Amino acid sequence: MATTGHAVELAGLRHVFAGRGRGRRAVHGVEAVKGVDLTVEPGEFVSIVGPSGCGKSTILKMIAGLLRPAEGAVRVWGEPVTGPRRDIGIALQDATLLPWRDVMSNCLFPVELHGKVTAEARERVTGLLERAGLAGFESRRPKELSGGMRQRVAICRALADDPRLLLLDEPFGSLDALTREQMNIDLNRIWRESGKTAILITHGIDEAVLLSTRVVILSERPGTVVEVVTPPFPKARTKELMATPEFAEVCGRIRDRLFASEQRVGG
Amino acid sequence: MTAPAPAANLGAAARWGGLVAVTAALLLAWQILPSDVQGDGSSVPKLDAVLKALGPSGEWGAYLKALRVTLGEAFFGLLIGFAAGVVLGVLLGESRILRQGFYPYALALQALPPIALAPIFVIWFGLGMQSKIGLVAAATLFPVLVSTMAGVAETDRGRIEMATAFGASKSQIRLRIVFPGLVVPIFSGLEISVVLSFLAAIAGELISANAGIGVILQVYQRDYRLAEEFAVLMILVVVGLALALLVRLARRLVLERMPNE
Amino acid sequence: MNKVTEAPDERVRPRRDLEPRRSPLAGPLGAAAFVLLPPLLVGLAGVLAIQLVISRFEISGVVIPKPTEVWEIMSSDLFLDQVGQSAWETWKATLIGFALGAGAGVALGVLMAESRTARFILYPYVVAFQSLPKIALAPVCALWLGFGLTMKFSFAAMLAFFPVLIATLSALSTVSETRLEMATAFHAGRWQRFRRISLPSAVPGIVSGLEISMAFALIGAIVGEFVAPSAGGLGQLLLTYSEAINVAAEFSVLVVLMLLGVLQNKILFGLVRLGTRRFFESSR
Repeated sequence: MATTGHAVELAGLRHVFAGRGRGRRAVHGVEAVKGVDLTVEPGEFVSIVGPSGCGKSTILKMIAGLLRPAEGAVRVWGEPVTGPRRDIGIALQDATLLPWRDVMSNCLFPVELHGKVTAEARERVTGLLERAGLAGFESRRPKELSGGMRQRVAICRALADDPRLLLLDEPFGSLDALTREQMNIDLNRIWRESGKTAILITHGIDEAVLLSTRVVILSERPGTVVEVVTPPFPKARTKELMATPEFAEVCGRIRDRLFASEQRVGG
Repeated sequence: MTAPAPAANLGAAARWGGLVAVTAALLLAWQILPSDVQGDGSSVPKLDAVLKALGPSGEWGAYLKALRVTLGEAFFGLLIGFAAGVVLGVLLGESRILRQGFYPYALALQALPPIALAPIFVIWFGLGMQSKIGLVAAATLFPVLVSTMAGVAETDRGRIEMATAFGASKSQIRLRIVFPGLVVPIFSGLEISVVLSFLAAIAGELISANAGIGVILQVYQRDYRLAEEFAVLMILVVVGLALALLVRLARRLVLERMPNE
Repeated sequence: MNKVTEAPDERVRPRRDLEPRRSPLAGPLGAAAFVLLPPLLVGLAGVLAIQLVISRFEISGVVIPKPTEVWEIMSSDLFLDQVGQSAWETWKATLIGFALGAGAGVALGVLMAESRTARFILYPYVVAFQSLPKIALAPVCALWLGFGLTMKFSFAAMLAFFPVLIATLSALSTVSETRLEMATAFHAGRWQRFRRISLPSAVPGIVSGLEISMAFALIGAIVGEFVAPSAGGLGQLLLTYSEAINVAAEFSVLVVLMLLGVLQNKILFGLVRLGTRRFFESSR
């Protein structure tokens, strides 16, 4: 497959969650996202930030092929998305590890689904686990791991079948601030070393700026793209970067933009 | 994925159609298939015969009298079994020594099918209602006991610590923290016991009794009056459904007043 | 390089404070004594008390037989012969009935969980049958299937069928949505989702259902023996002794039945749980 062109294209995306029931107990349909246009180039790390309930996760699910948009088009590597694809790796807010499998076998899960588990795949996963600081934990069960370790296993699982596109839905949302910072530095390294294209959903502005080559700001529901910010930093990010005035400046700009869009909708 | 509405309606229509068709086919087969299954007289009564036995000309006097006896046995047995289960459950839950001493025996007794006690209860209490009440009590005791005990043992440590920090005494903790938390577990034990009570009463009557559902079921079987036999079974389905509905209503009431979380 | 091997938090280490409090006697032998002693003492004291009360107040053996009397019967060769034979007959019917009933229950549970149409059509019948006290079908079963092994295991199978059906259905329909969505996102097909997510997630529920079914199968076999006058087995033995008003012998049979119950409901299923314990772990 040729890799020319865009990694992901969203054009005029709109989604409405269907209402339920009739009469008095009816639940009205909710317009989650509206008119979202976005293109992601190969090798980019794009974050989507926005207030809660703005349809961030909805967009990710549509890219993953879990939801079909009511209107508009989703294309991954130039092909219209009709369902889940094999070349996508995904990690969710909940690690969703399978408790009856050990770490290695959890990571091999997508490989298993897509065919036979080869020695090569095992080697790749071993390497991933090593890079994620999980060497030696291959035969542990999820319940023996801390929350942060579980999330790292989930990210290794997302990368296990060597996907071309990595989708991350607030994978560190449930972790404490310190662990989360460490995870972000790790994730940045994993992303650089693997050369994948990644899309991250988050409500953490610092996180988005620290990790991304571009940050997409969404408005309140129905979510639509308000601005795209390009943090002017080299690919390799460090903790020290977060202490610089430039970093604070970019974060401040995004924060202002988010508040402005909230006030516009609210007022 | 959100399915478009017309397809959903079509699916619902197909399912209702399927249900009606299957039911009609079953009833029709029941009516027209030859009823003498093995050719040796062990037969299935025709649908219309069963309906007739359930109609105004059916033996409603006998059905209802038997039902009254059985439900009475189930009710009083359940009352005794429930009370004993709660008391013993709290005792075993509160005292570590008692629990360690008696729990293995409780577990072993639980493994004994309670219905096997029926012949002994007949020797002790005779053919009347008492022996069945005893059997029902023995059968309904354990589910209540086990869930009560688990409820005491699993009382939220955090709540007890909170109350202790506010200076609550042991009896205050018991009264205000432990006991209110028992309502839901006790109720889930009771749910199982309600079903068991009806079952144990009928089982006891099947083995030896002078009145009740179990008795008329055996009489109708012995006399080859299978239409009446099936009529009684149908009535039991309705009574069973009513009991289940009652339990469900009670559960809703209990959970409303005593939320678990 | 300084790897981020964040120390596994305290959940990883065994929690000393959650283990049973330390016994007054140290060491594994002492701990065993601490667990075994109270029930043994209670048992001994109970047996002794019953024996003394019965002898002292001359209570009739019809009410409660002396423990020594029960022991005498239980240790006689004749009883052991008879009870061994009967216990095997009862357990044979239980096992066949369990295998048939539980197998059918799991199969139908899977069908109803996976197919909306099947669930919709079958559900009313399941509810109706579920609310019928199935013990009441014993006389009809005896009429149709005779008074032998066939009737016993069929009846046992019928009692074993429903708990496992309900357990399978409810376990399969409460599988975590996010787990299924995760698998879907990784391009898992319907069969893969069932085989690798739903079925393993449902194992604890199905095992509990099987456990209840096994107990019900034993009840079914016993009731079958009660209702069918020539079916043999422990139920028949109980009735025989009951007619002879031999309460001591009845107690002996009950003890054997209890041991059978412990063997199949506690020991057998203890092993099953041990074998499937990884499916019982939670992800947190």
